[in-house]
Amino acid sequence: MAEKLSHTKIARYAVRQLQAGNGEVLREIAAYVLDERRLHETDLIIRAILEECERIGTVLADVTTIETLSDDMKAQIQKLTGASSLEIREHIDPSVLGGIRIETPTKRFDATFARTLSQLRERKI
Amino acid sequence: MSITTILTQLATTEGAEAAADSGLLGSLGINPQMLLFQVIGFLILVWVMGKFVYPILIKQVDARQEKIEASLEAAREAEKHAASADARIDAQLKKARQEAQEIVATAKEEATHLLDEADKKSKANAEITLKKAHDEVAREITAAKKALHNETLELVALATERVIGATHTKDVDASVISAALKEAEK
Repeated sequence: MAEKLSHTKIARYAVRQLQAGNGEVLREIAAYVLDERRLHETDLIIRAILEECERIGTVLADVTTIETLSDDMKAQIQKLTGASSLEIREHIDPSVLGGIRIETPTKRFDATFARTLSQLRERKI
Repeated sequence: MSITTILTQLATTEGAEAAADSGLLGSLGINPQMLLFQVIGFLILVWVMGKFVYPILIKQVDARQEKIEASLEAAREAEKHAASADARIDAQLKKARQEAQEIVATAKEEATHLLDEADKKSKANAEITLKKAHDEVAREITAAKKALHNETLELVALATERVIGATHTKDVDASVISAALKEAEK
């Protein structure tokens, strides 16, 4: 029986292939997951790929605000993440009340008012 | 016929005759013969009495005397016993009074002791109750403070939400985000 590949190995393979321009690698990985009956590990594998991308400087960031981001803000975000290549997924959520929340595969930065108020509420005894 | 009867008859007949005869004794009505007979009879009577009656009488009197003396002696003895019994009774009464006084004194002491104990106990209980009440009040105060703290936080959060919702503009938000990102870079 073939050795079960770890998420890290799969991720590294995927990233190398993507860097090489092989856009089909994700299909390969999907087929492998189906073949090996590892569907339940899909989220983990995707996360591992994103982490590997972040490690090499390509970051996918989910940014939540109440207004659209300006270019300055995007530049600041890129500087903050230290990414050479930054892909931002913007989310407009009025419930955060204001401020910004940035989520990458390995990090989370929450400077929203909702978070501040939540911290205030957490101080209840 | 008895001797006495005979002497009596003789005395009465001879006596009458003699009385008619004598001078001084006759004038007095005394018959010498009769007198003699009477004296003899008296002496016989005395002898009979002394021989047969007096001893018995004397014996009886003596016996009675003895009885009386014995009774007197017994009475004296009884009086003596009564006196000693009285003395014993007095002594026992005295002892009983002393014991009763001691018992009363002991009972008083014990009652005082019990009262003191009860007093101490009730004071201790009162202190415990007071302490419990203090603790309860302290707990309630702490709980009230907590509730007030939490409610204040909640109100502040709600107020902040309302204020932010009403006053937060795009420019304000942009400056807030910019400040937060700069702070994070540090």
